[in-house]
Amino acid sequence: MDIDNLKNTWQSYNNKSEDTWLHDVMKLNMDLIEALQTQKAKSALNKMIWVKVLAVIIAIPFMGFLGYLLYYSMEPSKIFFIICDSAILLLTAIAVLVYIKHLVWIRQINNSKTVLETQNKLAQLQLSTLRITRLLWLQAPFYSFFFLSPAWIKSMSLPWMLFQLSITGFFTFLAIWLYRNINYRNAHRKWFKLLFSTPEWTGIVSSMTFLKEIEDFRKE
Amino acid sequence: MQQETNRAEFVRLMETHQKIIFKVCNSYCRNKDDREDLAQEIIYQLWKSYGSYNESFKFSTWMYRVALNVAISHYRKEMIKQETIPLAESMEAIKEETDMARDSEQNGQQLQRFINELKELDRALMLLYLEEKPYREIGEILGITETNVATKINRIKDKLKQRFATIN
Repeated sequence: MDIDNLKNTWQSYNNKSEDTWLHDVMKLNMDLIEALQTQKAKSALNKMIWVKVLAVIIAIPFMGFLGYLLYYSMEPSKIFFIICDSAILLLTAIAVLVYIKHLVWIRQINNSKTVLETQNKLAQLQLSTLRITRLLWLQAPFYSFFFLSPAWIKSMSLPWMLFQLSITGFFTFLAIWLYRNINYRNAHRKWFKLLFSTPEWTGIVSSMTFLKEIEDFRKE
Repeated sequence: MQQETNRAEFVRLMETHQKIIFKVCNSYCRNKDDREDLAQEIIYQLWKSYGSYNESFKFSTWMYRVALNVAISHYRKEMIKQETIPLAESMEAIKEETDMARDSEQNGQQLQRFINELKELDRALMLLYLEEKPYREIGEILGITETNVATKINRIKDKLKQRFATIN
């Protein structure tokens, strides 16, 4: 094939191509297309919106509960509880704010914008869900020592102390490690695929690679 | 009444520019059902955005933006659902077809196949290039500079040249 003659080859191929399938679509009444697509859009988008709305609905009373406990725990003997409760409250609040931001983004997506702008926004939206998961992992170590108190630590036996330290140490290491490593550079690794292999995650993970492609495409 | 006039005008525009939908769907879908589905989705999204169409852009520029955005999103969703045909397999298929006949239609099919194998954004770029859109307009549709358009087209053409060399 003559590479300098690509445009002619393309035009002549498309002029000869069978396009009856498009005539079938064009024959459809606009009302019908509208009804079919509204129904489809509702089911796909609703799922995404509902997951986020549900997360916000569950998180807000949970935050209220944490705030209530925090308010009634302000004493030196509950220092560990105060630290853990505050950290979990803060991270949950960040997640809720980001989810609310996502809901605003979903409403703002506009297909009339340039391809890079729209696709970038869509991929960012998906990727942001992964970033939030990464952030929420940081809560893990705080669930491992909120019940401790200074008095209890003083009276702890050495084996128990070592056990407690290793559990908290393990979760701290895991949370920091996951926070630092959940990114597109590691998307090909086994542990990553294992963690994010379900269909709902596949789309989110593929958006990481797509964002990289968008970035490269923008570069000259 | 205004709504009815708008709708009639929109249907007329769709009929005039239906080849855009046809080519975009062919480049982002493998089978007929999928193409019909995508064409409907594109028409619906065009209708939804029609009210906000900015007349400072050519109608076809706006139409390409919406159609390509919908097609890329649709393609990415479908790709997640189904596994892609490995490149080696499709290259083999092309080789077999090429051995059987080497006429102009065959060249067109090969070209369409190669376009369909490109990454989503490169595919959009090549589609616009083959449609003889000026570099400035391609830049406006995709959101990159004219120089970037020219550089990328040359790179893709080089890749195509290598591909054609391997099957000929």
